[in-house]
Formats: sequence, structure tokens, C-alpha cells
Amino acid sequence: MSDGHQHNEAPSIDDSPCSESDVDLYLDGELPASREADLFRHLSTCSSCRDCLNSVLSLRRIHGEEYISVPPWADDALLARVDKRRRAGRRTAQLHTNQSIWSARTTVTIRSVLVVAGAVLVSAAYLTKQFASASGHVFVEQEHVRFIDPIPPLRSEVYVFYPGLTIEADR
Amino acid sequence: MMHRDTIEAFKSGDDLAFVSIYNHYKTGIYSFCLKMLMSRDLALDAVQDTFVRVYENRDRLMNTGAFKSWLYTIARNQCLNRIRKLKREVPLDEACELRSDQSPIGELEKSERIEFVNRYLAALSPSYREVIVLREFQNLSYEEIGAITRSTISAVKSRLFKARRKLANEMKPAMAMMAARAAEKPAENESDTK
Repeated sequence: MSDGHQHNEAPSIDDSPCSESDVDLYLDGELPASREADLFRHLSTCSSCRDCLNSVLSLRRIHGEEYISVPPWADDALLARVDKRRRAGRRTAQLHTNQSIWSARTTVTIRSVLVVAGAVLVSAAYLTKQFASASGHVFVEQEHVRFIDPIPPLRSEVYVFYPGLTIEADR
Repeated sequence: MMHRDTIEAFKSGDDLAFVSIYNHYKTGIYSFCLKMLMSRDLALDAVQDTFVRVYENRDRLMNTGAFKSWLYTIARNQCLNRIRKLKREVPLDEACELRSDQSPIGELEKSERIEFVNRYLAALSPSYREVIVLREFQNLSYEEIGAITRSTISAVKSRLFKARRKLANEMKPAMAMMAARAAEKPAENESDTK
């Protein structure tokens, strides 16, 4: 026999080592036909391997006699339960679609958070700049200066623009 | 084997496909749960929870070809959770009330024989019991059992072989008695004829 080991308690008539794996392979239908004769020869003398084989075969035979079926009420109970879940699922889905945008909760990635934060910063900087330029004292300022005593005599008003000084007379 | 189209239809939300799948697998799953839990009520409960989970988590099934393994994995988890919860490992002495001094297997009524085997099965640890049930009763391959129990094929084989030895050792007295009776019977018949 191949890769087996010797049973200590097996009152075997012959001294050939037991091949437990061969018994298992035979039970699983995986033992090559060429090794079957050796296995049967061994089984005829080894009570331990024979017990193993017989007990598994008995187990299979007796299980084959057992009639197992799910009672009809269990089918109904399951389908009712699944139906209940399905309805609950639909209701939840409907609630989700009816939810206002403020109560909606969604998961977002860190990347998208960073992109949004960057966009907010850039637009804030731009808007600040725009606001500053619109409100006053930065880029273009116009002052209207009226000379009490017109000097030179031909010009009465001078417009001053700065930075970069520009003087504009009304004539 | 369940048709792939049915499983695909179930995945895409077809409730009729779910009913078809349930009808196809319910007996196998119930049988597995029954042998694992040794209680009809617990087994029916586990079957229901299994199929409800299958229904709810249909979108998590990636490979339709592995549906059977996925289904049995869920059923196995349901059983193990219940076993853990109830600590239903029956001690061997309590389990094997029928011993060799009582009727041997061959002379028992069918229901008694089934009860007899179930008691020995119940005495096995859940890890041994599950491989025995999946292999001997459900007729699953080593690969399928490996996928269900999250083990390698060699680990499955090793566990199955050990479980068979353990079962054989426990059943040995009853089996020996049966063999002895079987040997006695021809002798009795011979003497009767004389």
C-alpha cells in the first residue's frame, strides 16, 4: 500500500500498513482502478480500515433513506418575509428620492473635498480682488480739484488720476 | 445546476428568478442546516435567514458561477452563529444513547436508524460535522467545500479524513455488533434447516 501509516490498535491479520488515504480516495471515487485490488486485499484483513469504510457507507445509506423537505408553511413564511423587505426597500428608496437637498447625506472622497475647497479659495481670492477694485482706493481714483484762482488762467478744472499721474483739464 | 441566466436575472432584480432559485436550493440548504443544527425549528429559521440575506445582498454577488458556494457560505455562517449562540455541541455520552448493547443498526426501524446516525453526527465538532455533511450528504466537491469553509483543498481533505476516522471510531461498537449479528444469522439459518 502507498503512503499510509500503521494502526496501533488494528488487529490486522496481515502486516501490510494501512492506507487511510486510499480508503478516503475510494470513498470519494478518486482511487485509480489500478489500486483498487490492493485496497480490497487490505480491507479483507484490516478491521480498522473496514470499519471506516463501513461506517461512511452506512452513513450515506441511512441518509439516503431520510426524506427531508421544507414544509409548505415555511415557503410561505419566507416569501412573505421577502415581500415585506421588498416593500420596505421600495419605501426607503422613495423616501430617498423625496428627500430635500439639505437633508441628503452622501459620502464624498477626500479628493473631491480638496478640489471644492481649492475652488472656493480661488474664487474667494478673485472676488476679494474685484470687491477691492470696485470699492475704492486701489487702482483708479479720481479726484475733482477746483481751483479758486484759476492758474493757468485758461483752465478752471483739473482731473487727477493716479497711480500714474494724469491731469485732465476741462478744456 | 442552476441556470446562469436565472442567477443573472435575480441579480438584476427579477423576483421570479429568486423564487426559482429558492425552489431549486431550499431542500439542500435545509438538509445542510438540519444536520448542522440537529433541530428542525432552528434549521428552518436558518434557511429563512439565509435566503433573506441572499435576497438583500444580491448586488454583492460578483461571480454568478460561484452562486452555490456563496449560498452555502451564508447558510454555514447562519448555522455557526446559532451553534455559537446556543452552544449546541452535544456531549458524546449524551448524544450516543444508542450503544452497542442496544439493537444494531440493521435491526432498527428506519426512523430509529436515522436518529442513530444523527446522534453520532451531532457528537462531532461543528468543523468536522460540516465537512461530513457537505461531502457525504450534499455531495459537494473539495473545491466547493474549500470555497464555503474558506480553506484550501488539502485542508478540506485532511479535515474530512479525520472526521471520517472520528465517526468510524465512535460508530465502531455498533458496527461490530451489526457485523457479528450478520455473521450469526447464516449459522442460525443453517441449523434451522438441519
